[in-house]
Amino acid sequence: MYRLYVAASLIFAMFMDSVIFARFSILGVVPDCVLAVVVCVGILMGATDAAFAGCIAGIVIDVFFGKAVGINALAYMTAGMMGGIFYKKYFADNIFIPIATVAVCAFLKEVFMAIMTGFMGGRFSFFEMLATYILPSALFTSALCLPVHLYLKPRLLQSSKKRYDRTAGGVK
Amino acid sequence: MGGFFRSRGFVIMLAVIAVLAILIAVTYDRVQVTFIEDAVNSVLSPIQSFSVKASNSIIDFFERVFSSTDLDKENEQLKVQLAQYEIIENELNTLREENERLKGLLNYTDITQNYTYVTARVIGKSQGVWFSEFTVNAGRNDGVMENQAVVNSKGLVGRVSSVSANTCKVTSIIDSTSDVSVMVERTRDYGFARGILNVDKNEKLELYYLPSGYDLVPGDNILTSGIGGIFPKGIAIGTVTEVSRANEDTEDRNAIIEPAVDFLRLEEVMIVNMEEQEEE
Repeated sequence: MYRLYVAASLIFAMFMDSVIFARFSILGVVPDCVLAVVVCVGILMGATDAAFAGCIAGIVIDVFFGKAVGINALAYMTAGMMGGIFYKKYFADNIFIPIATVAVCAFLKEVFMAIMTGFMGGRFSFFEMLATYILPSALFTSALCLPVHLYLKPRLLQSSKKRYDRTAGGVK
Repeated sequence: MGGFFRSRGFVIMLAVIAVLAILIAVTYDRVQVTFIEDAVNSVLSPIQSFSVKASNSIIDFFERVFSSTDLDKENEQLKVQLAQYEIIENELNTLREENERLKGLLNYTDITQNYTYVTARVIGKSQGVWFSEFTVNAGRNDGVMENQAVVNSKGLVGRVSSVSANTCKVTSIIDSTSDVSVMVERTRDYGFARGILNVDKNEKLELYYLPSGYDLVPGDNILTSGIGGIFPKGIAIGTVTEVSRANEDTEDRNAIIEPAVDFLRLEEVMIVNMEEQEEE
């Protein structure tokens, strides 16, 4: 069941990124909804699930919208793994860790995208982009983490608990 | 934690990362898509096409509602019948705007009759600001090929960068990795235009490599030069908004161009087939 929640959340996040935030932005800065979902999945379900979800979502985005296949897949997969670092390592009520993790992952993802853009021939001032886009976008994405985490946490943890109970029952 | 980094899962993830890195290197700058990408595109493009169309209608509706006066809003809330008429009117407005855009496209084809065109709708845009690419709902089955020019009624939009069966990706001229050979309409000087990577939504292009002693003033129109064979000659790129004095040998830009096309509200485009006409 939790896979269904994750898949539905990722599809909705992709739709938000490619349709809604393609038209609306705050001073040109847009959040990364897919990244917020992937990192939250990592924190709640562990690195393996999040890396897999991030990889699949990234490949779909790359195939459909991307410049080269693998860029987003690599970024989201790594973000999922980073989110997994905090799996079962914090109190469930602590919202600061998910927000901070998403902020760090979003920052690193945008830096990675800047490097890839540079490799592909794009010319820009990195420090100007750092101040005007990368940092604001990371903050925007981390703010978005709050509703995403609050939505996913009860659903994923409940599904996870059911799965654990079933496994434990099977062992008996 | 340490256990995870020693686990088989972590090793598999590292292997996947290596594979993805190779994929990036292989797929960057290629024009041919694999059959897997083709399949994914074929499955997703109708869903994406529908969702974009539905979302745009909803967004347009709300934009109209929020841009109206308080009195209008009050009247809408009070009079149900009027609200119904308003919904119908909105639909009519949407159709009228679409009709005007399509008429514009038809006028455009009158101007450049030498080529054949494939009309397509934008069904997705790349995320973030780093790349300016979008997906349209016309592909190989519609006769679209790599490196064909993409235009709308205002001017040059970009070029087809990769094609699948029913969709294709278009790299726009405002992408920072895109170069277009251009000329100044008034002086016929040749140069190159390249997208500027910035965060504000006022997309701009930079003009480079004009001959020394160039004569350029704000308001000059910039057109495609036709050099390179991808873009037909004489398609509008934009208007010069700012001129800077740069040496021919330096990498400094000569001017800033405001594109003729509104990339934020791009909905329909036409893909130019130059080869078909040449074959005839």
